[in-house]
Amino acid sequence: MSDARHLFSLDTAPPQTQNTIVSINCQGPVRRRLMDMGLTPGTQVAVEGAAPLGDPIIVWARGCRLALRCGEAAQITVAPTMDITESSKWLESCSSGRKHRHRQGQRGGGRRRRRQRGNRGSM
Amino acid sequence: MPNAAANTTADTTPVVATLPVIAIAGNPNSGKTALFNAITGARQHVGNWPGVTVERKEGLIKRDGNEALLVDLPGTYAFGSRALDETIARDFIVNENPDVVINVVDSTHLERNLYLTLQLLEMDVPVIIALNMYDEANSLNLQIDVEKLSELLEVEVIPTVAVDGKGVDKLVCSAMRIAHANQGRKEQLKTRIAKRTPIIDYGKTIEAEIALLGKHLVDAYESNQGLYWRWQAIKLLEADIAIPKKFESVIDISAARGKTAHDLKAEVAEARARIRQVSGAEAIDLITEARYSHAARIAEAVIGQDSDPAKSSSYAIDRIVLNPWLAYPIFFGVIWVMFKITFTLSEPIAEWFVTLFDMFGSIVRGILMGIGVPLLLVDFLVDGIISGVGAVLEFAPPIFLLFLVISILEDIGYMARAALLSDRLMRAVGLHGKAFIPMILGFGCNVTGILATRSLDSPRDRLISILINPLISCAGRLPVYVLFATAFFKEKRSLVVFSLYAMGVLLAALAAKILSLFIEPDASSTFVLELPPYRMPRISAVLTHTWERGKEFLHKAGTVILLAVAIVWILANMPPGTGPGSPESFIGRIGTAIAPVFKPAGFGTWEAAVALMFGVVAKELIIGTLGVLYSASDASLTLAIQGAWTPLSAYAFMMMVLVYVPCVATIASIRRETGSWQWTTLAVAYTLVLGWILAVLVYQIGMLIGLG
Repeated sequence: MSDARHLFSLDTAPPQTQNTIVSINCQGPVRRRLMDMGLTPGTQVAVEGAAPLGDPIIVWARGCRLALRCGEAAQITVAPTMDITESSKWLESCSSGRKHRHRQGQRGGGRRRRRQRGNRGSM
Repeated sequence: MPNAAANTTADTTPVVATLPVIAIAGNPNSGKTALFNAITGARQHVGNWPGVTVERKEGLIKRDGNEALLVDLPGTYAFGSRALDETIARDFIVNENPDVVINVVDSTHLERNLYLTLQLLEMDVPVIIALNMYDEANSLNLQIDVEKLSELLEVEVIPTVAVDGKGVDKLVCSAMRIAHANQGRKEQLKTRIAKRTPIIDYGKTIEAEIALLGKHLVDAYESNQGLYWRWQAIKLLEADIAIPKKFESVIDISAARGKTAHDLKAEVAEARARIRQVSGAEAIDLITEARYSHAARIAEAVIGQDSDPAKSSSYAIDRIVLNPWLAYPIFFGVIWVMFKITFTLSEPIAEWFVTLFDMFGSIVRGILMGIGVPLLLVDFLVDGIISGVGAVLEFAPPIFLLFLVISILEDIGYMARAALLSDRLMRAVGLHGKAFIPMILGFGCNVTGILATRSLDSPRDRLISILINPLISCAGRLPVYVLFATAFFKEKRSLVVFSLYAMGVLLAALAAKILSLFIEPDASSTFVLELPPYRMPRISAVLTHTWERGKEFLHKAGTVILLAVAIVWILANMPPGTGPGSPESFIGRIGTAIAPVFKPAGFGTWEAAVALMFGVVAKELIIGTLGVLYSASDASLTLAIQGAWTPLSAYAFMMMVLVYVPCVATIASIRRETGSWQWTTLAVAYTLVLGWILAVLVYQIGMLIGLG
């Protein structure tokens, strides 16, 4: 899926970048909970920021914002998604609340994200 | 609040078997409750699901002469057996066979919500979709192709805006039509579609196993039951731990038909092993992924290409609210404003209440005397019951105001941020961020706080939150502080009152820490919280929520406290011939017997002992009891108290009132929510012992350093 050197856990992922979930490394109820909330392997996820004390962190996945503890995020292995520039532009414009900036970019980014998810098997 | 008032009228409509049943299912934050309220209005009844303490809401729908029963299922993200809520929702659908399920879907979070929808459709129950918050999707420039969605899911989809009632009528009519069409039919005939094709294709490996298991299940049923067997096969592959009742019967049937239950279970295990071998992953993971991918595909297909999923202003707001420098100042500022509003605004209303009850009392006295009722009975009714209950109802304004502010903050979406911000702090003492809301509610009434712990997923987090909640100083304790602090500390009284509130929080944190060391960690404790977008609060929703929380308190005033007030009065005035509240009365004798216990704490008077005793019934009664006991010998309560206490013993007494034994209503709710007498006993015992020790420590240390 991705070069092993580029794998890191979600809590250490640089903010405002698109990442793809590679695996969830815990078992039992916590795994179920994470997956039921949409954090399944192959999902695009971006760290948006952290609470003021650094924990929990806020991530953006499947059109939703989720808060999760660093301990839980550490169980999620991610790899950076290829076209970082497009997505980060998209994210940046979202999180800055400036709706009209990069309008074209947003659209492209939004669709691209979906496409990636659709055929992630080939990545 | 006419709606709310009607709710309390005990229309405990039993589930009439002949009525069609409509269930509402959906994600948390999807507007499910708003839709339920919009449909049923006043005709609803709140109870509990059998055997558990999760709230069950039911309502009656009447449309064009037809009736149906509407059942609100707990809001869930999935239908597994991971959490109690999910099990309840799933078991209701499987075991009770609702005639139609209204699935509330948040249009602004289509993909995530469809994950639940797909599971619902797999269960092969008749479904109708309420595409809720349709206005918000529009304002976010999300164009959803409703027809296409309906076509892809093969069910009816109706856009709604539950909070404004838009689309609700259409939804109800369609639901009623489907429900009536399905009612009375055998479950296998309740169809959602004519064309019965599986909604999700799980891929070759899993589909093969589903078919194999399905064959056994169909054999067991002797009929193919629509696609219901398919769902069962999927669930078995998912290794859902808690098997719904109906599954057991299937396993029984298969046992009777020569295939033992053990065989079926072994076959499931083999099937899972084969999947693991072929695909290198657990069946449940593959199934979850497949469902989410399918949800994503549908969402992509129905969201218009012109849609600009630009984010709402929530991001901009969160940049401030969650800003590293501003977050905590805002957080504590909000809490400060909340208390300021609660206590400042409630004062005039509470005074107005007192005047009202005094007036009511004298009118009743006049009428009763006029018609010749004996004086003793008049005294009992007016001085005992009316003024006693009045004294308690004085606390309704601050409690309701606090709950109102909390409900507004919840409706806006701030409470999810507050849970996020407090998680790190709460975790330091072994608590969960979501335990923040129950704690804040506890400042109003501990019963409400304890009920609110239901939002916590992990049983352990919940237990700890329940056990420490009584240490949060509820509104009933405030008048004791105010009276004593005013009598003894004059200009420093605010500081004294604040110190007690702070002490309560500190002790709660300490108790949580200690409990968390002894109660085994729970593997299921997670903090995965959806941050909902900020929304304008809707008056009706806020008022309904406030009422639902506050009515616990009114209920308490109307039952437990009413009874206790009557007993206090009788004990204080019996045996006949003794002066009211004199040491010779029954109450005086009991108090005299207990008083020595409190001698080391500096308040070993029988009056104090009696007041504390009745404070167990309701903390609000402490002042009332002291009033009754001292008014016999002294005109002003403040003067009487200044005579019997010193500043030091007064502080010790306030400390005792803060910590000792939760009131009866709180004890009852601890019992109900924990389901265990042991934990309830522990809660009572530790607070009693801790309260006494702290009161004695305050007094003795104070004496030692010469404050006495």
